Amino acid sequence: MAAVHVYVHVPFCVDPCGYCDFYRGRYRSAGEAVYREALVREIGLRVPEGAVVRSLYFGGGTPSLLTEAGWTAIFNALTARASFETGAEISIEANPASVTKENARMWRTLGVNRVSVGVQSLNNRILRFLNRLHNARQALAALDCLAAAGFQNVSADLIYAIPGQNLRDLRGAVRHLAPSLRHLSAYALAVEPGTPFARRGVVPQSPDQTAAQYEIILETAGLAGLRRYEISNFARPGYECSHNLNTWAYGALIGLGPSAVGFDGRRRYRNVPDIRQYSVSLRRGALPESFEESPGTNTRLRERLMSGLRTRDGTLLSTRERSRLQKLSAEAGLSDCFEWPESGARLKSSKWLVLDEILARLPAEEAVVG
Amino acid sequence: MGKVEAEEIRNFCIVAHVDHGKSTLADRILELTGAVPKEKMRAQYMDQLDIERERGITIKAAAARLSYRSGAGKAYQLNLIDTPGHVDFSYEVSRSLAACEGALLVVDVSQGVEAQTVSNFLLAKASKLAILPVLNKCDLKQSDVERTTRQLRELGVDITHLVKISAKTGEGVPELLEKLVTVIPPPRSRAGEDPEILKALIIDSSYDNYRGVVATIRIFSGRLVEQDRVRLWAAGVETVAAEVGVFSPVPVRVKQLGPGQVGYVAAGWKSMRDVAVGDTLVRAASPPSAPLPGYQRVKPMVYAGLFPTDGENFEALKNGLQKLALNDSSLTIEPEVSDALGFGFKCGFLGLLHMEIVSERLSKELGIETLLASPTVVYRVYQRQGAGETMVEVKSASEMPKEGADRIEEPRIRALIFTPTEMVGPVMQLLEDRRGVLEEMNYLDPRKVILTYDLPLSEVITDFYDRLKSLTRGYASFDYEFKTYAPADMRKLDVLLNGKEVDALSLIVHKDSAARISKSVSSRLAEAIPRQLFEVVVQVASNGRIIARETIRALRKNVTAKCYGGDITRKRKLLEKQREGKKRMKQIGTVEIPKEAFLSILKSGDLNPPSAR
Ligand code: SF4
Repeated sequence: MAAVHVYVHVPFCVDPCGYCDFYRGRYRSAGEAVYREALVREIGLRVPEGAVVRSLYFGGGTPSLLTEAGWTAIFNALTARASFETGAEISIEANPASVTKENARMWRTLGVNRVSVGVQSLNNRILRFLNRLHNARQALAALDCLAAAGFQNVSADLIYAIPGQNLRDLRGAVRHLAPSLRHLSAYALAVEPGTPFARRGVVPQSPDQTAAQYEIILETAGLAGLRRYEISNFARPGYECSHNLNTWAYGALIGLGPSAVGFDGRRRYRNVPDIRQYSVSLRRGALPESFEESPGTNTRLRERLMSGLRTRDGTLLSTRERSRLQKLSAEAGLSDCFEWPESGARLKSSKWLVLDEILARLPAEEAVVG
Repeated sequence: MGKVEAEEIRNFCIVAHVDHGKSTLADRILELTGAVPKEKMRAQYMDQLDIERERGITIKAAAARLSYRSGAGKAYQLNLIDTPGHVDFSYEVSRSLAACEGALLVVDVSQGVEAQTVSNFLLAKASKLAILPVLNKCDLKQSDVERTTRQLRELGVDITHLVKISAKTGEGVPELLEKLVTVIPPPRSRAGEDPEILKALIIDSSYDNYRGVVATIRIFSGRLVEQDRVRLWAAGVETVAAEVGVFSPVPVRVKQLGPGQVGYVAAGWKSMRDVAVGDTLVRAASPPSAPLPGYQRVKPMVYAGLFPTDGENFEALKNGLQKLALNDSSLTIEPEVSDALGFGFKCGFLGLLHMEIVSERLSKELGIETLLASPTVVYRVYQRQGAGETMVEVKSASEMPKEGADRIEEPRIRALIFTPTEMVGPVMQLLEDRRGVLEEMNYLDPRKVILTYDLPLSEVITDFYDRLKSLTRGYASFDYEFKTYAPADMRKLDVLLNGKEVDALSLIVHKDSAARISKSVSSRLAEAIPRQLFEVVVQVASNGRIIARETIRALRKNVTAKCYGGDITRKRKLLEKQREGKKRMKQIGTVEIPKEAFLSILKSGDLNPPSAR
């Protein structure tokens, strides 16, 4: 049986961040119990008997809020049906506020080998603006704590393009964090509808300023040995997130938990983004899906380009697809944007930041497939 | 003048400035003479088209035969000949006037004499008509009968028979009719004209689905009888007069028309173009003699692109325009394809108002929204050829000869501007900005000035009137007539995007405004064109020399920060939306230009210099 990639959504947080549009609710132990029970049922429905897990990723929400009982139940359910491939990547996202010695030790024991810490910024004013639970000192302490517990593969998230943020802040943060990191993710602030920031009318920095901040992060991370392998992700060689690489390569993914998305290469589903409905549905033995689609060949190709071109390796294409794309991009005046390795197509590094513009200018995929 | 043809006939028209009450007075006269019973009367009866009713003007002349018995018990046949109310139709107005012996010059006493009062008076005087001044709205509180009377006297109007009325209430209208039949003479044959030979003036034509083209005519001599074989002098078309009648004001078949009479004839004509206003209708068999004087082939003075705002409505626009042209021989249409705006038509109009009327009728009557692009006057472009010269008429920048021109002539107008005295400064400034040359300045009274300017037509076809109105808070009035072609230092401006010429954006401008307009064009484009993957250089060139330049810097960032498993569907949809948006853009070379960018340049009236300094 082929190796599988599994994503688990943990829908709890303590206090919502200003920019957050993930599905999550306030953490309560009763809620965790409901969630845990339902998730165990979903594992039973979705994870094939005898599956070999190549990557397992707990995202959120705040997975680091889960109790030991929760973790144990989830891991037990998984290992009851599946095994982990040697060197499998097991990641969790953690909020600095919930990284404690005890938790770190527990995660190690469970087999977690990669922790992604939501540092976001090392400027306390900005952390308050984001409504984060922690300050810069706590974030750094969390990284130390993880190191002390023996975690090697630690990643940090940063956010840029925040109003009032400057280049010095960002360069300083990357420099300061890099020695403790194998991996770094840096995201431009996006104000999504329905978030507290949208309600407050927060506007991210201008595209030009955002671009300048990005360049600084790229440069500083690069000097510190963290190489860009996807638009927003940087890693030391060999520490690229294999879970996400699989997604960008358009690989199959089992999504578990409320609001999680899964894809088997043909069909994509999304679980209902509501913990009650999620659990009710599973208690009845039904898949808790609220959306599904089976993109056609053309749409799939567009999605492959959309995700693959974000990465250093680009998109794998058949010879036929590759030559069609070459022709069409030339016609659209985009020749200058691509490189054409044997395997397919990738973006020139100078064009990464305008990927969406390039994708939007590419003629319809029908034409690409021919 | 020869002998009196029909003692009981009075042919007259009503002339007035816009909104001074011409149509209301016509309504009262129709009512009083019993032509239209009171209960059937609707406001502005003679103005058949809704749009005209709304604007208080009429486009097409029509005529109504009315019976009137005077106080002395004498019976008269009155022919009220309607005249188009606007300067764009001055030729048609002159033909309508030529069909009359007299004119009622109506002035609203709450407004006083205005620009069109004067131009109408001058036209009527030139046609040697008896002029009966009529003061309207005398019932209004703010009426100033004294002042208006003084203004008329100042103008040189004979006020001996001045009549005061209220067209709205009908007060004074019976007295007006009494005066009319005494002041306005009966028709006379023209000196030296053979009274037996049919000569009739075409004063209007319209298209009827059953009868074909129907012409309104005034008989100057001879008699027109149904089944006569007739010929149109200028068009040379021979047909049979199938139906002869009068409007009273509904069409009534009378089988024949005699000297001095006004009526209509349908002679199986197929095309409006053959039946030209001002042409002379004669009997086919009649011996050669001179036509009635004054005939001209009217030619469009202003051309503009007419495009459907929604590209899909092209067919509807095409049908709509054809329909309008059927009844409006002065509207010319030819297909046009614009790089920027797609399929449309290049239309020729008599003037500004005509242009506006056409687009309003398309919208109101046919529900087609259109975009008027790059209105241009007709330039005469001369090029040396051997010892001589050739001339081409240029109706848009793209028609400008590539080799350039030796000299260019532009149409100029004589403009009559009425303005309150205290605003004369800014108004004269505006006229100077528009390259106007002051010819005369007269005080109608201490509060009102008449300015006569010699102006390039190109300077008034866009926003001139709006500017004038806003400078004077609506108090100024304006009228013009075509004067002559005169040499002008015009330049063609070419717009280049990354070195590639954008045909659709070329403009013809005067040398003196070339620099300013180039700047305005380049900065408008730089503002309206979104940043692209590559730097875009906007240049405006004149004679191959770059005179304005702007740079649109390359787009630096357009990418979503996150694209994980859960984001793909939403992101794909977002990109689809972006791509849809791009589809609506026009690609010139590798540069994508949104429609708004074109509109910011092409829309009429936007590029003129600011006048209020
Ligand atoms: S911790 Fe993450 S999931 Fe929770 S509110 Fe903040 S951004 Fe959203």
